[in-house]
Amino acid sequence: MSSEEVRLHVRGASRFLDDQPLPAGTLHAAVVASAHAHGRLLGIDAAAASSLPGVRAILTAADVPGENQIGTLVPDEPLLAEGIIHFVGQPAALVVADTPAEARRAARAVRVTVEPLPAVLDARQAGALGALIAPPRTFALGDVDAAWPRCARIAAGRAETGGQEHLYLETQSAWAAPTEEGGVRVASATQAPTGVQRGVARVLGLAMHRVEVDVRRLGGAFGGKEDQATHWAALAALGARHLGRPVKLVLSRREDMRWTGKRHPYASDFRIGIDAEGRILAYEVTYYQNAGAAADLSMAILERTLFHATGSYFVPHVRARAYSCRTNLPPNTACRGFGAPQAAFVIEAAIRAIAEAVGRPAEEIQRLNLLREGDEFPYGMRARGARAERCWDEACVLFRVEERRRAIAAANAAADPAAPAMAAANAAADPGAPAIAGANGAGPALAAPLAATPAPRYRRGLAMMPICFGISFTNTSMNQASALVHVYSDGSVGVSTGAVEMGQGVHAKLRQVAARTLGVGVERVKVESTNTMRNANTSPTAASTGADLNGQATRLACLEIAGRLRGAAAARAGCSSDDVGFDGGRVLVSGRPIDLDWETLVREAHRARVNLSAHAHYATPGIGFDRSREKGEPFAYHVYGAAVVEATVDALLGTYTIDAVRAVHDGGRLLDPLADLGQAEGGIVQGLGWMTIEDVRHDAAGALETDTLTTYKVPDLDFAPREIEVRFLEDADHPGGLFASKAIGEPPLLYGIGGFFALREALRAARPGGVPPFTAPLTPERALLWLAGQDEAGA
Amino acid sequence: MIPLLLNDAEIALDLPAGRRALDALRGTLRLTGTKEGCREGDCGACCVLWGVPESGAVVYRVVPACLLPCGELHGTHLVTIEGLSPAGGSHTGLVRGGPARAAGLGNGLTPVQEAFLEFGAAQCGFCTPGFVVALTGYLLSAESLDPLEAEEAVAGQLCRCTGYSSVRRALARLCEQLDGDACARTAGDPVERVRWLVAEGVLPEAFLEAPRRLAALARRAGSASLAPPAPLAARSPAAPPMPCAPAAPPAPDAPPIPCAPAAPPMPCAPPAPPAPASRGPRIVGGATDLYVQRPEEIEDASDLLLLSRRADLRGIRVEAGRCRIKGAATIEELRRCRTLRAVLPALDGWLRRVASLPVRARATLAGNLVNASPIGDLAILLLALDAEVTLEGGGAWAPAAGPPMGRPSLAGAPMESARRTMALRAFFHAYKQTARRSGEIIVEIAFDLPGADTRLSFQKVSCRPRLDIASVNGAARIAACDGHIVRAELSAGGVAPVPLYLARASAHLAGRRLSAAAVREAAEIADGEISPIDDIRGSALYKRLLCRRILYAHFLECFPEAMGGDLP
Ligand SMILES: Cc1cc2nc3c(=O)[nH]c(=O)nc-3n(C[C@H](O)[C@H](O)[C@H](O)COP(=O)(O)OP(=O)(O)OC[C@H]3O[C@@H](n4cnc5c(N)ncnc54)[C@H](O)[C@@H]3O)c2cc1C
Ligand code: FES
Ligand code: FES
Repeated sequence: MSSEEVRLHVRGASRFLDDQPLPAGTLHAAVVASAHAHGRLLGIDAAAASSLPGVRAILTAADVPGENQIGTLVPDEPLLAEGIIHFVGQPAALVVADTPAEARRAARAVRVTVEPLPAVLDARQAGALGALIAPPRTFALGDVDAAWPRCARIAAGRAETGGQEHLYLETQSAWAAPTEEGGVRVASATQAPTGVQRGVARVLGLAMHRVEVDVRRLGGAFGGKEDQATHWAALAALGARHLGRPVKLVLSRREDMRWTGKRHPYASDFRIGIDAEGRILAYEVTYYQNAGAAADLSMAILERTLFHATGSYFVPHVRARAYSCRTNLPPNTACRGFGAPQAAFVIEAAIRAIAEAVGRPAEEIQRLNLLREGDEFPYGMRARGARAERCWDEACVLFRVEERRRAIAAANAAADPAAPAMAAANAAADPGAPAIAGANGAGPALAAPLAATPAPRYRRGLAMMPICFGISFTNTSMNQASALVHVYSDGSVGVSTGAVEMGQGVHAKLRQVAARTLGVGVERVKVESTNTMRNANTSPTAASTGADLNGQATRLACLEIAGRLRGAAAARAGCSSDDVGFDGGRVLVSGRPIDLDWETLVREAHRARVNLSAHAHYATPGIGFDRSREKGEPFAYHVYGAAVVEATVDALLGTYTIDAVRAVHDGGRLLDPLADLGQAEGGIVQGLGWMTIEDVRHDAAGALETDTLTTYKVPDLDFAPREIEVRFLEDADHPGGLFASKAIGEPPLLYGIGGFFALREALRAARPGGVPPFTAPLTPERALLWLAGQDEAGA
Repeated sequence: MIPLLLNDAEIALDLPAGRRALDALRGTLRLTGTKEGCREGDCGACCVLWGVPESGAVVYRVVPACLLPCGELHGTHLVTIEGLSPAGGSHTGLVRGGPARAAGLGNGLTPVQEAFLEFGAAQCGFCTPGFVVALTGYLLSAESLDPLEAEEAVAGQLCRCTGYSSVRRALARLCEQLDGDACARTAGDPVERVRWLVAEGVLPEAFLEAPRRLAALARRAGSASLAPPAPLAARSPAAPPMPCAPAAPPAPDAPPIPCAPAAPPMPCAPPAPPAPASRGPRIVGGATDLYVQRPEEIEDASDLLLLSRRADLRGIRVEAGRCRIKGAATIEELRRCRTLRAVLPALDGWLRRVASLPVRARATLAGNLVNASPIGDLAILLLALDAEVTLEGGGAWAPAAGPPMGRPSLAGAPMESARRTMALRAFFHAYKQTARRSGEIIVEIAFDLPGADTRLSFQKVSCRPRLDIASVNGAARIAACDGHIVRAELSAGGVAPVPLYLARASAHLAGRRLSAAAVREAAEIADGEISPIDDIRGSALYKRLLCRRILYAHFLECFPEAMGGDLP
């Protein structure tokens, strides 16, 4: 981790956007958002609101000087509503006032008249109505239709995953000020400074060079600030442009939760077939992605779902079809994993379904089908440097999985004498419902000696969760980055790239890359804020690629400067520049330090008019994807891993704990072990939250019900497993990687999916013979209703 | 003007008493190290240390600044993350307002900060100041250095980045590295504790001077308007020894304790109409509910009746088998009450499931009752315990048109007092409607301690096990003898418009043999008493199921043998 950045954090000295001192004259904005999920916008009456104290302006679509549009992939998202309202929370007007409180008060007084239209909230329903964001897509491998008859056993079913609120602790925020030449300077809490720049330019009708966007750091993002920071920045810019004064817009937690998109909920149908040994022969899956009301990044997310359809496994015959369904919810958006976790959930569900159908442990089927070197993905790429089996096998040994499994089976068996107690509870609780442990009144368990201790209410479960995650933006053109490196004449180094620091430690990694490449200590290197004037046309910091792409660009820029400095040193030492090296701030010739240090060299080089700055560009080599055939090499490489997850359920009350997550993870050669560990652990807990207690709920009218931290529950310290153990594969250099490393941001989130399946195992132990549905999040409510046979499937 | 010690500077805030301390810090004072994550007490990002003078020392608590009214700061020491950082900036520039920043922050780190740095327990950093403050607060109050207790102290801090493992490692290291003996030696002695922590570099030296400076501040401001706010627990001089309270008399400049006239109890008062919207000053307990439910009523208000300032409403007293909880006593005080713990060891665990420590340090039991949420944890517990509430003042003798109460003031002038005591079971009338009349204050909540033959159980089921509002909660007080239930008192929350006493199910159990069959029958009856609705905490179906199973869980936990041996 960057000790410099963390030093600021622990002292409360790091400034987030809302902490920046404001220039005198800054005004504050608030947004008037639609209260309807769907309807005709008949009028906006701001008369009463505009006479309220402090109000400076109330702006609507008519006040947008440029194009009233911020949709990136598809122009389907107006900045301010016009004509039709598409979701609750759609911005309809902007109020600018002297204080945030005055702006909000006035925003509440603006009357938006809407003639309601029927709203569709469910993806399957939207799909059936043909309300699609884009034409459906299909990935195929082999001949799935021909494969079914060859299968020894086939299972089919449904799997559903819910949305997920990003819950970055820093809410969406932006500040914009007019510049003297009619442009605008923007500070934005965004993962995509260029995206904001483009959006603001479009909305204000300006050339991009008139819009400067600067990002210092984010208080978390998780994908939620990739596309969706633009709206707020563009609104602030609109206000600034209109009033000629700086305008700041910071969403409250509730506004942020209500108005911004989440992880896409998916509803899926699967069919899976295995041969007699348990090899998966065929897999067919259809995804219905709930995209919300506008495209946002949904198509790209859908594509990643397709890329990850078969998870960590090789399946010779595959057909995966995906629909991006338009509903009347806020546009769903990027969220750590970007569609891959949804796909992984379905294949894992399918494997459970088939394993249960043939009465074998899921782990057997999983292990048998893990990806091997050279296996073909449904999109035509082959697994290179596959480490799925290695991670799995190491995890089994390292974490003594067999032993754990036996201990859990024994504990569950020992809990059986409690069957009568549970049966009694059950009978008391749900007359007519099946008894929990198979003993209803007079079961065999009655004969067992009655324990003198409290009836063991608890059942445990274990699940293995292998992961395989493709690294690169699936949109090939985004896999590029630039770096601007200055060596100042005193030997200090400034690095500017497009990478936004949001806690993932990318700045620390860049610092390290520059220091290592220049052979100086990290303390000489400073990573600057992310600014569109220093780095143009940057890709968002997303897809786990921030360090890879920007690090490579930084390395190239530093190499260029180092090359020039080697020349300068060679001239002075009278040797070949090939013999010159730098290490620890010293100049080496043929590996031996000479009487020349970094500072002196730099000073002299500057005097000798050597260029001490470099701009470099990096484009990931060898990738590409042909959408007309749905085949290609979209990823630079894959990240592998395997986790063992354990859970305990209270069969009486339906509450549970995730006890442990232990993973062997392929991180290549770690660039920053502490940061990488933190990413893995944080991702795991976020994934667990998505699978268990994080329940995004809307009412029938499409308004978010879980719009506060009181009603939307993310893991707290107590919920997070006490035991999270991440072991990185050793001797796992990744040739071609940045200093042999691999990306870390998203993949570990997928381990959290194991939490669902571990819990599901515990539930199965509590109600033998039952088949818990593949519906996530598996909230305590769902757990208890299922245990009591009163869930939708069981009732 | 609200005079206070902010970090190491004496300042006076010219803000309404109801303004959130968080807004004063981030807005008026430009101390932005304290973060805003939710404004509802749910994330902990805004936590500050709040030091209240108490018999010559200053007692610090970690509280969420978003739920702390500025009025409470009067005469206290408010410490933010800026004030905890070594060589902390001099905030003297802030004395007379004007925008100023936390200039001159030190470069060094405290051991708490070092631990966070070393273990990578800060990623995006937004939650980090809250963690550091909470952990520092733990060190200020810890009885011993125990990693699990340290975890409890930061359990209310949400972090979306780290997954908490690195936090756990950081605080384990901290507990290991600091001197456990010194911690034990200074337990319960705030002056010595501060001295030790200053020596360890955990606290800046400014803390040493805080008691003296607050006393001087009080003298300058005139003690009349500077009544010390609630200590952790106070005792009235006349009270018999009371182990719950620190062995400290009220601060010398405390206002005299008003002698309550012995009003006749009127347990059978007819239901009062719902209190009309805010007439007279707003009664404020911990404000944890007010800021969340009705922020607009309090944020700009200057006329708050801050109950924490009334010495007569402080403390918890256990005597003659009865526990008396005063009207401003907090939930955390109850949890820490040693005498109660001795009689009711499970109480600690139950109360840990109520909100988070910083919220509990503010939230009062009386507020939990008046708030009348059908799911209030304390209301449910106290219903089973057959608590009585004593109300005082207000419109009891003055009809709606009359003056609602005596002239309010921050210091809490004596009121026209009429007292009545009623059973809590008669207190809740309808959704958010109680027997409390406008302006009436709960001055005491009392219940009998359980006898040797009595067992208690409290169950709470929520989506997230901790820091969550219950889907359904329930409590039981069961007296049993020779395998028979002498008396059972059951309550359930989240299943009716009010916190519900399950009168019929309770009555059914009296005299029955302790058996699963009896419990089953009671559950059947209870099911007829409740009327849960579908809401964000769960479907009606789920709540019915939970209510029954919770009932079963009470008995399973209280009488495992009887339940086991008596199964059909
Ligand atoms: C983050 C968070 C988590 C929470 N978690 C829980 C939980 O787990 N379980 C739970 O039960 N509750 C919870 N609550 C709700 C709330 O904290 C409690 O109900 C608390 O006990 C309220 O007390 P208070 O002193 O803060 O009330 P206040 O906010 O001060 O007051 C609430 C109401 O009571 C009135 N009032 C206060 N004291 C008196 C008095 N002595 N006499 C007459 N009227 C009075 C006030 O005028 C107001 O109308 C939570 C709240 C928050 C913010
Ligand atoms: S801001 Fe979240 S607890 Fe105060
Ligand atoms: S470090 Fe980002 S929220 Fe905790």
